[in-house]
Amino acid sequence: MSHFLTMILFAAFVAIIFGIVGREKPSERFTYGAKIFAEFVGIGLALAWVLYWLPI
Amino acid sequence: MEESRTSTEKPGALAWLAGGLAWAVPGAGHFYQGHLVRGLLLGGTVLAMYVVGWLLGGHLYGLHNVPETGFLAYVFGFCDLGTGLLYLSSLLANIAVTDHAQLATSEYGDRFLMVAGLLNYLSMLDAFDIAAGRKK
Repeated sequence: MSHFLTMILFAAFVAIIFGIVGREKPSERFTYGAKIFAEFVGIGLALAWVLYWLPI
Repeated sequence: MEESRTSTEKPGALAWLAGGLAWAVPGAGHFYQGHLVRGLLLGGTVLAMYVVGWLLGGHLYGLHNVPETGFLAYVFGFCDLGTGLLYLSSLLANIAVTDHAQLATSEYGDRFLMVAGLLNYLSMLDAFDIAAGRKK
């Protein structure tokens, strides 16, 4: 399994739980879950890009 | 006339039962209260995360100190314990308890197993709050 797919799976699992537990209305749950998912993936990619340029 | 519940009201035995069930079997606390879809989504997600973690080569920490990990082993063990009977039965069946990394992705697997436990703690609190009348 690629690192990217692992990150996508992790973000999806966390987003599902947070979406259900964090909001009361179904429409808000979906929006909140999508937001959590996008934040996980977006920040993960941004961090990966920053770390790529760091000399080891 | 029925009295409305407030957040200061003490949760009853059913709330503790729902919380305990949710910890023991992911999703069971919601099934018990008739929230089938919610229980299926929460329990299914925790279970899927646990299985992915195991397939990635993750290992479960016991609730004891490990020399190379130190005090953090207790913290990791507490996280893993969140999956309830899944964790306890895995320890008994010797599943995902290898001491050394078997796969290159084992670190990811460790995190998946731990976060599955932490998410089930959240699910447990959700089931408890619903049974106590604090949430819908």
